[in-house]
Amino acid sequence: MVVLDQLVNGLALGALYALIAAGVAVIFGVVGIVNFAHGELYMLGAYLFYLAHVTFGLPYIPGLVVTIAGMAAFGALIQLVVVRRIVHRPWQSQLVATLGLSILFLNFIAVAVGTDPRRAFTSLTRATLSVGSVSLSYQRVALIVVTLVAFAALHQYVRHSRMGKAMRAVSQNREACVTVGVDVQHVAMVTFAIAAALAGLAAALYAPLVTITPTMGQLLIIKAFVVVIIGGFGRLDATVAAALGLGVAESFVIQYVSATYVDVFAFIIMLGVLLARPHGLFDRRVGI
Amino acid sequence: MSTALASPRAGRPTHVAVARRGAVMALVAVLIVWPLGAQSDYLAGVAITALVFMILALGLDLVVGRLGVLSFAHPAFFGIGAYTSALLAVHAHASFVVGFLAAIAVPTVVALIVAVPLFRLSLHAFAMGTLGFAQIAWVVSINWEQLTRGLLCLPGVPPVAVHIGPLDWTAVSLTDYYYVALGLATACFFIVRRLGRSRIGRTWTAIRDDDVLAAANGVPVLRYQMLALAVGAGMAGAAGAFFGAYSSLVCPTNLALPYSINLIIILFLGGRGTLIGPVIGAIIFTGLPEYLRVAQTWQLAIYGALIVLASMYLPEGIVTWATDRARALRMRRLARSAPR
Amino acid sequence: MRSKQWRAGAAGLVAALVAVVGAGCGSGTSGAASKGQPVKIGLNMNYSGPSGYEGQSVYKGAKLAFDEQNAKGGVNGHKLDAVLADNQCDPAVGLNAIRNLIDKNHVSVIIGSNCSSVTLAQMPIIQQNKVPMLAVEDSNTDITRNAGVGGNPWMFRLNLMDEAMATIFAKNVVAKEVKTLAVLAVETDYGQGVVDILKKIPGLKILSVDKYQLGQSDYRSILTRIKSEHPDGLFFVGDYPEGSQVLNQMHELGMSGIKVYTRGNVADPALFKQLDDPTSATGLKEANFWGVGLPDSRYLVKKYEARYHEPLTRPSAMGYFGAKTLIEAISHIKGDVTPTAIRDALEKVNFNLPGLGHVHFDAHHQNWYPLYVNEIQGTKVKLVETVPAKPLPGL
Repeated sequence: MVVLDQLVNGLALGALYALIAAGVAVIFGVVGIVNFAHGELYMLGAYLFYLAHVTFGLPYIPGLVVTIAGMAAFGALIQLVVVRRIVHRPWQSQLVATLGLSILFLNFIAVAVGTDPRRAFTSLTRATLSVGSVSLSYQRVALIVVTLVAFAALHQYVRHSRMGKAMRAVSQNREACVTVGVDVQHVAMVTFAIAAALAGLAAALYAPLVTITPTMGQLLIIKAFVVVIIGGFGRLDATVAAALGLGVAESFVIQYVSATYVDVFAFIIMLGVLLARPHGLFDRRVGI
Repeated sequence: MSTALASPRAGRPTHVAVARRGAVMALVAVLIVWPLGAQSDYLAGVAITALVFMILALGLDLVVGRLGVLSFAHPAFFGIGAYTSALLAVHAHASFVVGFLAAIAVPTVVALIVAVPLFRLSLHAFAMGTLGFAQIAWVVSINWEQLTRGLLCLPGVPPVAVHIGPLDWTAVSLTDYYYVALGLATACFFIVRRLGRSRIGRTWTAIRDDDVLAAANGVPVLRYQMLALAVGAGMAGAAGAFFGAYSSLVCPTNLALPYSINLIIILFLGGRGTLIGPVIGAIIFTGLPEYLRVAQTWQLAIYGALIVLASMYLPEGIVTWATDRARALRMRRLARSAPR
Repeated sequence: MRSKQWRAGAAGLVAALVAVVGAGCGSGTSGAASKGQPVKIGLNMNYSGPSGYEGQSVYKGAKLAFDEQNAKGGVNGHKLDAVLADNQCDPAVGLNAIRNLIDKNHVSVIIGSNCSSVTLAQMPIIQQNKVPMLAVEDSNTDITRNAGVGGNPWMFRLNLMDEAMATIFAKNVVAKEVKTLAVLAVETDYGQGVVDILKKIPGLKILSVDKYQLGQSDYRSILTRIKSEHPDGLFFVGDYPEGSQVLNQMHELGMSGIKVYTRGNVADPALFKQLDDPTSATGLKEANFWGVGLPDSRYLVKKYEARYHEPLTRPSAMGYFGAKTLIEAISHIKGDVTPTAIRDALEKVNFNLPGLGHVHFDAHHQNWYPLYVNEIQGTKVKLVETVPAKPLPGL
């Protein structure tokens, strides 16, 4: 059944959107910065995964763990070196800083590693699962399942752990947190680490399904922004829901309308949401 | 508040004013005369590209610098203007002047129309809204093949030519195009300068600083916002008409996102809200990649690193940083020479 | 006060004039190489951006030929000096790139630009400046239409163009094997031209046309839809990075029964690394203006791999062939090697280039040689058919 096929396609696509958009949302919510370089964090994660899994020959799970850990560390590093210096500057400087990082990462990889497309197969990509008429690789099953599990875990973390509560508090009222003595910079660093780790997870799950090139993050970041806007600017759960919804919607647009205009479709939805409900589809609540 | 004391011009000694005037005149002379001496098509081409970026940056600055909002829509206006005049010339055999005027009018009208829903949005939503508008314009220019020939581009755009009354002139050499570009850029420069110093400019600043307060004081905020967007769009359209005639073809790549990003970088690192900022920014960021052709492979990575460093250490842009430095220097000199 | 200002201004003006006129003096030679001097060759490539690997490949191929020749002492004592300019596959950047080559670097001849829209923008400039340019990868028919007797005697093209390839391939191969076709084309000037041609082939029903963004990697939704239309065949226009993805995903979705036709450059030795199952491309047929399976090409495959440690691909081969064509032309020049002399020599070129075929430019400065139909069998690309290509009527 075509509907079922496209639903599965949409969920897989939406899972990818969710992992990237959640990183953008959480950074925006807690640190207040729009991270234009997030697509490149995903790209760097893919190359890191390639290094671990293909060049060094690590099996899949260790490769995945290495990628997530490596990206988390890199995210923290970015916060430490660049973000701390721009966090008190006007949003325009922050914007340009992340744009600059995006250009730097992309072109550095393009020159240092080359633009030849690479592939990082796993044993899961080659094995296909057939349920009725739906045929998909185990890798895609893993993508959907692991993403949902990851978000459930993140949800628990943000709700119940000490750092999670600190993150929520900072996203709701930064000044009050500073007054009370919360180490805001530390919270920001953890946030960046988590966001980068999500991008790394996305890379380890999705890169085996596509080719790895330096520009692979560019088309994604725009979709991530659209999802964040629809979900309401930084709300974690809403962002995930919006991402899955957009993925599924896009698949159905491709099936019943046209593949050419599918990118524009995302923007039209976004513009529609903005015009009707300027604070996003979900209710107006501050903080992640 | 007395403007005399607050003005940066107060207290500047005469010899500085003289030197400044001399420098400006020298600059103007160089700008007008150098193509005749240098005889280089390549340099003229780069200069023309810089001037076009300058016009776009000056127009975008009205919204980004003076009004304080972020807009990605500018290349869309540039493209709309370029296609308007190109289509009129190729299909309706309109003269360049007619096409040029249409290229100013159409983007202006489009800007006025989209401004109304867009300016209702908050800062980030406005930026994304303009991005959405720009992406839609880009996709349309690629896919509406009957009109634009899509990615095969619209070739055969006739050169810049003015046939009004006794005046009968067609641009032939690259130097001719340079002078046209210089004229356009100068006109835009003076328009922006005039607007900035007028009541309109002050109102824009008021809106940027606190639009709620401005509205409470009776300012029709939306109308001023529309004006900023529309003037910028008109200038972009004019630049588009020129560029189409100069390249003799119009492509959808002119509307692509990288141009938005380049313009934003030009503004934020040149210095937004100032007059010279967009000018210097355009020169540096056109000249820099051409200069870096030497380091062809690492060119763009270096460019990215420079941008990050500049945003970290020169947050207000190069021009503001330079004028701050100059002022600090002057203050120190004055303090030293003051009677004890 | 006033007079001081005006005096300062006048002094500035004079200084500026002196500086400018001084800079203008000695603006260099016009790209001519007299006895013993090196010949400067401009490589006008899409070196960066999403299609950057294409420009980089052409560059490498050309460099291989030039370095080889220089090791033999150059051409008639002239060393070959290659100068690179990146056009980023953007016509606006391409204008500055070509002026950089002609004006600043004084090249005598140019190879490029690999992007049809860029070449079309640059053609008036090479005509104005009287510098010949040889296209080796550009596909759009308009380039040939406007070259030679079509108006611009400075433009030459080595590779077969779109219209010829698509028409001959579709009529002689595709239409004989399938009745219905789904089309998936890249959203660039390259993709658009081919779609227009396919629609005009009689006996072939086009069920759908889909465009994808260069750099896109997930085609599953599009392929799912195509699968639901039950076409006999899929015509894919694009290169092997995206092509490999389409093949992988077709395999995953269970679409292996659909015949795949490609326009080039998919059936390339570099394809197999990108496939989940290296044998899953079996049966794919491709029309190409280069025969990778030709026994004649083996020498080039070995040479290229020895130097660059990567397989020879079509763009790199075309870069090599383009350079060899220029070398052949220059070798016939008696006297100074000027742009005009190179142009005249190119018009007279008539020789056999192993791996490509016969090189001879017609009245429209277009080279005609057989169309090669390659088929993937297992993990090898084999040449299965050679279709002679004749100049199309009306051209």
